Amino acid sequence: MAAGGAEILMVTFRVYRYNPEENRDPYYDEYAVPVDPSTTVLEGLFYILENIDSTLSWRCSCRAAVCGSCGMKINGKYGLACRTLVKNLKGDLVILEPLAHLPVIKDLVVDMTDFYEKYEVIEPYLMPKELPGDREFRQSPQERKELDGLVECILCGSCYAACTMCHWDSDFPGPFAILAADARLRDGRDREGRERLLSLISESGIWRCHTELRCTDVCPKKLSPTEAINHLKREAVIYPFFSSKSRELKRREKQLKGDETASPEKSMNRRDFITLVLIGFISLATVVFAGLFSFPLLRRGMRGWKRGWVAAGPVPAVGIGKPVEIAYSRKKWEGGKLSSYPQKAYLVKGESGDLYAIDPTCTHLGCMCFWDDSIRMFMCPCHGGAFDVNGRVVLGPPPRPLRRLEVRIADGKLYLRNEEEEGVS
Amino acid sequence: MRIHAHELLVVGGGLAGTMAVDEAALLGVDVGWISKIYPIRSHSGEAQGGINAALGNNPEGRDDSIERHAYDTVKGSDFLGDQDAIEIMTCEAPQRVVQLERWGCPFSRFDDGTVAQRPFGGGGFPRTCYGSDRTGHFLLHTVFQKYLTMKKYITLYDEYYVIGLIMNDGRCRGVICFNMRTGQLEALQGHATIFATGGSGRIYGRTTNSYSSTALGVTIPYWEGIPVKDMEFFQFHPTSIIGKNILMTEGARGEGAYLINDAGERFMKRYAPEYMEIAPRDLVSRSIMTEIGEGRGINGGSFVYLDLRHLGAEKIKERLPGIREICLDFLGIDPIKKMIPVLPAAHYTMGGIDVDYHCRSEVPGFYACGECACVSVHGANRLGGNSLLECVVFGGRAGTTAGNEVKGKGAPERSEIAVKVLKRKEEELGELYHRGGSENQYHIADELHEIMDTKVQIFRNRAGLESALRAIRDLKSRFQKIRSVSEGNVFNYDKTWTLEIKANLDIAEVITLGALRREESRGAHYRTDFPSRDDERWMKHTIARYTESGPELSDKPVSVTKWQPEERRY
Repeated sequence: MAAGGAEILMVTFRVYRYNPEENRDPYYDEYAVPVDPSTTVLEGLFYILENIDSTLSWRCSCRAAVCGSCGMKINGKYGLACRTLVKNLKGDLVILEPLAHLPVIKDLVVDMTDFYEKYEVIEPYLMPKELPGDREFRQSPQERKELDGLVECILCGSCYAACTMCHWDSDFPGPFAILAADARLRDGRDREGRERLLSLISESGIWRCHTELRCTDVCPKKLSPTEAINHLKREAVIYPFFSSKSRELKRREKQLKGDETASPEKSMNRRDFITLVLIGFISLATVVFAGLFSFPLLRRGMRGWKRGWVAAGPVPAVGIGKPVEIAYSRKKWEGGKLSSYPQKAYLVKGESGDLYAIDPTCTHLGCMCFWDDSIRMFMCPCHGGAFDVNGRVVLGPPPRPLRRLEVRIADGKLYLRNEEEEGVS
Repeated sequence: MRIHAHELLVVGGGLAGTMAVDEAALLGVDVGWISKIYPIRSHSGEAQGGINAALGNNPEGRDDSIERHAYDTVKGSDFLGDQDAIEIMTCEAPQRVVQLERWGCPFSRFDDGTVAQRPFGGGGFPRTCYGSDRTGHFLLHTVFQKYLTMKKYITLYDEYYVIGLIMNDGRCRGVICFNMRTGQLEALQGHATIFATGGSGRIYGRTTNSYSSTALGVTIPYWEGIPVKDMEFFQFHPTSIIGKNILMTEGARGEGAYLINDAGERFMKRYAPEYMEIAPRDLVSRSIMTEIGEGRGINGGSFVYLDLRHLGAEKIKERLPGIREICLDFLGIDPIKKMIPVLPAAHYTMGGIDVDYHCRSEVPGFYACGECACVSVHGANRLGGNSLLECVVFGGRAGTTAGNEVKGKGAPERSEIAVKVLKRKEEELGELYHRGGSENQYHIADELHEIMDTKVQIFRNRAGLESALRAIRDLKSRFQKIRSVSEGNVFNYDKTWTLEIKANLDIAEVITLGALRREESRGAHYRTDFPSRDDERWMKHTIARYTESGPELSDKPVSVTKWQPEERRY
């Protein structure tokens, strides 16, 4: 195989060996292989099988970097044996090892079951929209271009083996699977669209990626799973606000409970929300500013149970299961003086009529969540986390439920207390 | 001893096999799917150029029609293709392409949003639908993804090598498999079995085919007495890169690439003045070999240039990114700046298991489709873009026909026959693997490649073929004395390669005998001592049956419906 031509060099192939039928730990064998400038690593392996050691096992098929069978670690870098020219490895030692993160069956052959299952879990197939008569879907060349760099993946496992997150988290689907998910997400023919994100925005999903770019580095087809993952992260942030599926689910749930007030269509868009929050903050700031001046007076007046409680204005009307936003301020001693921070909370009336408040600070990375009445969830604008009316995690990366605040009503006013905080009054 | 049973068995994970599995599962049939490699690793994924269908999407080919596609195919086949089968294929083509598009295949697009089509060799119209130059890859992944949605009907046995059939009462009742993981034989019983095992390109040394494309799939039924057809017709693709023989798609020429000889001229003007570079493959391959033979190869060597440079960087990157990648990886050449050195290489097995257009063989319960079968829609020469089409159309038909036959029967009960055949196969393999001789089977394979590459090539003649036949028979007798294979049960590829070499030797003999017997030139089969087509004597298929003493050849008539043979000009 490697014969012919003038410039033949002898190169050492050091190959990882493991045979489950032998009672022996994995070891390395060395073989002297003649190579010319055009010899690939795959051809070197065939030379060994045919002339030196017929017990060596590895997978291969197309020898043209299309089938994805011969993914392995070549001199420390994952790639395809068929596509790697020995001369490009520079040096006279070629070290071959199996793909990482997958159990070795024999020599360079690994068990890909997990890998294929992860591909399956992201549902890589098209879920078509309503079919266009008896013809094909219309898709403009620009729309088709969106799929370039995503649909060429050959599932060789190089990125999967190179990804450190695949090592740490066995639930992480891996770069190749997310790439395939992105291909469908961007495909206008797919009816699921962004809904496909639902299975990927958990802690072990897209957020597991730490952008190390190892997948992109090793991809033999020069694709960038990192780019796909980042695209999905962006989508995930926007997604829940518009999610027709989760809205629909919630609406049905409501109907089942016989709630008449279900309003499926109402939703708030991002800009409206930001405007609202801004207005809220400005008015809040005004109140707080005014409050600051009168604070020394207040302080002197606080006695008894009021210690550790914060006033949050008059008691608003609140319906069962319909949280109402309330503003209050939290004070802290800083640099010898008392500073005040505007806060928000949601006042909630539980099904049994009990009253409590929820601190909307996301337990993932501390972003401020807001109540989206259309889907009846607290949504985090940063990473797509979602909590139900009780503050329990429904979706996304948050590790804990939202914090609850104690509520007390006195003199027609609302007071909140956070047990974790030092009593500031 | 493990015995499995399903209503239907499908062998092969390529486009035809997967299509058959999908169509059968759509009927709700319980399918056992066997593949020697994981399905998406199959050679179908290497197909680059496209799939033919008279959709008429191209503004320059609006008046294309099913009849024109059929006529081009009949003419391309040099009138050896069965015209009834060809009509079925071209008629089903548009709906199959639409079906695959709806299953999610990312075809390239025209501005109006329809599936893009480009001109291809031997086609009078731009009717080859494509997805850049990775059409096979896209199609294979699409049908595989479809399988994922129907897994409850399908049991996949991947990395199982089929090594024999379970035959009883003149019916095929299942297959015997070699499980790569355990090294043990297992029996799979089924009311019907579909073979879709692909081509036999690895009989040749210079081939565009993958390592998996060996003759084993054709040989298993052949060994059991099911005849093979037209094996002497082997297509040589005009353009494969020198050295590695990796395919450079015909789509490159379809997009306007030139073939250039040492004098810098587009030599195709001498051979096909009208069609030039997009003449059919047999003609282009012969033209290249003539140029080389007459000393006009580049620097007098045995290759010519494929010139893409005038297409411009943008078009190459958009429509032919895959072949650019191959050139960069394997030759270190960027086709945007440099010409690609190419030469013809063995590419497609027109012949195969003899089946009708329902994919039925003469043995009840045994079906075949795709490249391992010979329906025959390609006759003496296949047109580019018709192979993926054949896989899709006849793969689908096989799945439907066989599926309807077995539907509702339930998996067959465990039969003693299966156990008996399994034991017999174990003994046979034991003998093959422990011959204890001194011959290296891989060196025998290398010698076979050498013989096929020099003597059973594009140009053939009696003297060459006779010496090839002697040499192949000599190799077969030497193969009786091969060394014992290495011990070990888990992923012992030494065992499977040895079996595949045995199969290659047998089919090489059939090819050579057929080529020797057919004293005419037709399509890909060109005899320098009989340079013209002889319809009176040879407008018929060659049938080969296995006997202990070697292949037994006979004839079978060609089906003619609308088109009488005429002179073939391009």
